[in-house]
Amino acid sequence: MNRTPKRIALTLLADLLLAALILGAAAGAQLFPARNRAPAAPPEPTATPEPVPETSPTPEPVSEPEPTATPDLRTPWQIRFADQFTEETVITENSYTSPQVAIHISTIQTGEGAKTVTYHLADIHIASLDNFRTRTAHGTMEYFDTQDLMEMDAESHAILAISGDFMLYQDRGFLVRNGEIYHQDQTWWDLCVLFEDGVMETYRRDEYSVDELLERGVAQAWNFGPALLDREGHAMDSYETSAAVGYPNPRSAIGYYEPGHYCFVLVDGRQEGYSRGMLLPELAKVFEELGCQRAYNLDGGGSAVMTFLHERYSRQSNGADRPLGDLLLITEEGWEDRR
Amino acid sequence: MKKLLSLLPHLSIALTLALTVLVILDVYNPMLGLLRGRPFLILFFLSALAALGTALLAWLGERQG
Repeated sequence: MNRTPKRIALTLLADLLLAALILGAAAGAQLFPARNRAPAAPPEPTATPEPVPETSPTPEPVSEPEPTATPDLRTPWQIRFADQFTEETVITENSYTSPQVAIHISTIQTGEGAKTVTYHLADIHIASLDNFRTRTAHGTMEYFDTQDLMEMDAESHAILAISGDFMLYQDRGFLVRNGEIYHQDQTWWDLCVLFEDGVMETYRRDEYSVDELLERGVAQAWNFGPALLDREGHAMDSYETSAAVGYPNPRSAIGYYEPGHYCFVLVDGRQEGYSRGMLLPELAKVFEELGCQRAYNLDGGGSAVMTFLHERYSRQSNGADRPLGDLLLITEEGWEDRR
Repeated sequence: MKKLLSLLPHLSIALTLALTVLVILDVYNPMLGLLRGRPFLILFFLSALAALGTALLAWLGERQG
């Protein structure tokens, strides 16, 4: 090699090294800015509560109490799904029923050989939205924070939990957790909203206004997606997502039947012979066949996980739990004491 | 100054490579938000400036030649 080509090669190598340095700096600055970032601002109040009218000075005549009926203290959802709940807490290896929560998990396997797919379907009935919670790593809003899965599961007293939308990696979008508003921007992807009346809706990024959603009362809002079903409950024709849609992967997703009735689906994957994972259209088909009205894909891959009774229920693709940013969970007060 | 100007094409190459890798990563995992932050914007403008400078140098060199 004479001097000139050698020099050219070395110069190009130097350019490559410079490119790698710039890339590292840019990606690092984007992905790890958290250390100097102030903790998330407390949620802004959405509306000033209306003053409660004072009680009338002239008391209304008190009617005689009816002698017979004891008041029905059940919530509307407890009445509607009365056949799902039990008077006592009953726990088996794949079900949990109590006066407030009913969970039944079934594991379904389809296909053969390398095309085998295994997924876990948790059918959920709850008495109120207090039983449907979300939890972030360490219970805070520290950007890019993660926490050990089982630790987070135990601290949140989850009966059942699945991986969330990795919200602590998102510095914008429309993010609401347990009624607290963290970001109020339009999202870049499909949005899923659980309203305070228990209705769940999914939206394309240009289909909603944040103000209108907030006015309706938002309990949870997730930014990940894509939405899997259209307004008629049929699998979508196209998905607002990345090229990763082209590969079978472990998946976690939430489905909605009606207020108080939901389901979590966790697809195991990347384990040939046991489960290869699912494509998004396959996952959408599962929800369509279940009869869900809405369904929404959540964080998948190595993050996809389902826990039940404080134990990992799904089978991790890499054998080990990945620290997570957030969880969706079903819980009720004091259930661990009644085990 | 001449030395500094001779670095422009190399800067342009390096920045373009870095941007290309970021775009490819974003296609596979947009949740990382690599194309949405301030670092990307800075990189993009630097790259545009370097490319503009390189193009001007090439054009001037051609005219002088």
